[in-house]
Amino acid sequence: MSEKASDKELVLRVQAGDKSAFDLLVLKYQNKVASLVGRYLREPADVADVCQEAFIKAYRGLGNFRGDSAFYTWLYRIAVNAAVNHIATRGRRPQGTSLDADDNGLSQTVERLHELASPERQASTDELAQAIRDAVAGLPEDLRTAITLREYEGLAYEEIATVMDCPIGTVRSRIFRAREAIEAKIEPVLFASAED
Amino acid sequence: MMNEQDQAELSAFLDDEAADVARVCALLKSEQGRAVWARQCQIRDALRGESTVASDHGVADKVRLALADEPVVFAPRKAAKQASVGSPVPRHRQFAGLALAATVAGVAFLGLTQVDQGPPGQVADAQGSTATMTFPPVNGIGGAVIESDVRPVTRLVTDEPESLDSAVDTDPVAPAQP
Repeated sequence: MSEKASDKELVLRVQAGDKSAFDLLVLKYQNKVASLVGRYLREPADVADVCQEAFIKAYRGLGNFRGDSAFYTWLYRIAVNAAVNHIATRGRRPQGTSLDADDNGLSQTVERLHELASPERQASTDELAQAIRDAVAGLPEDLRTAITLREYEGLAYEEIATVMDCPIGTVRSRIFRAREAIEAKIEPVLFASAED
Repeated sequence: MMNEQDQAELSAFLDDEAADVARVCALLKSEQGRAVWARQCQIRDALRGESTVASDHGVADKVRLALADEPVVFAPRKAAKQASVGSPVPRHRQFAGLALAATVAGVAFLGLTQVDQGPPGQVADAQGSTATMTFPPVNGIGGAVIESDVRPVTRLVTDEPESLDSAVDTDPVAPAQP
């Protein structure tokens, strides 16, 4: 499949009247959108509210989405606008935060906002990151290589198959098994962060 | 019950690498398929260091609930527009349009005829000339003759306020905005 073909498939299903396909897109992108919105807003509850609003707006606008851009690119702009509107409405704009979705200084803003993150939240994030590192390190060699090439190097399955000298179906299976194994290791940490 | 191969296929779909999209779509229709998809999205996000705020706050469930009563989304308007441009209007619909136009013209003609023949004091002519309205005296009291310039009605007046768009002058030859 070409890049983002799965998104296109799900979008077409939504546009054909299958509302559940939109739910799959939400599941796929909710945390990515939250990461983006989290660069503009500090409070997790606000981030969640804006994410929800962005997805609802996206659903309502999907009838006019022609697929000229990738779905996530389109969603990205909706989310940024929702965050900006939220800040404008609440009058809680952090100093130095740009209100321009196309701002090139976004990375500096992110760094400033990360400095403002609460110690508890940071500790929870650090704990999760450490748990993931441990889980990946504890994987069998073939699974570790497959998941590392995919998630950290961004290689396509075909490229991974070439690197590992195995069929693409084997790559598919190894990546899936690696994810399952990692999930089993980090599940307690994930649940703990959800309860915080 | 989904086997490991099915789950691996969903995992691959997340990476845009599924071998059989139709099969994946069928798998995703079930509650179990959704649960597997949700879990794999979460693990992938964790691996990539994405925020967990949305999943922690149940954003997906909240969106699903919020959209439960929303009307379903349909295909983009562009597709519908292209379809109407590309396909000719059926003959029976052409006749229906002609019949409607003829009816409207007939009603308008009759209306004008009635206007011309109406009693004094009701309506003036619609040619933009001077109209005369005569009000006869009632019980010997009152009575008047009023003359005024009457212009043809060129636009329909309604109670609806004009929209901001209509107040803006537009260049009819300007290219349409994308």
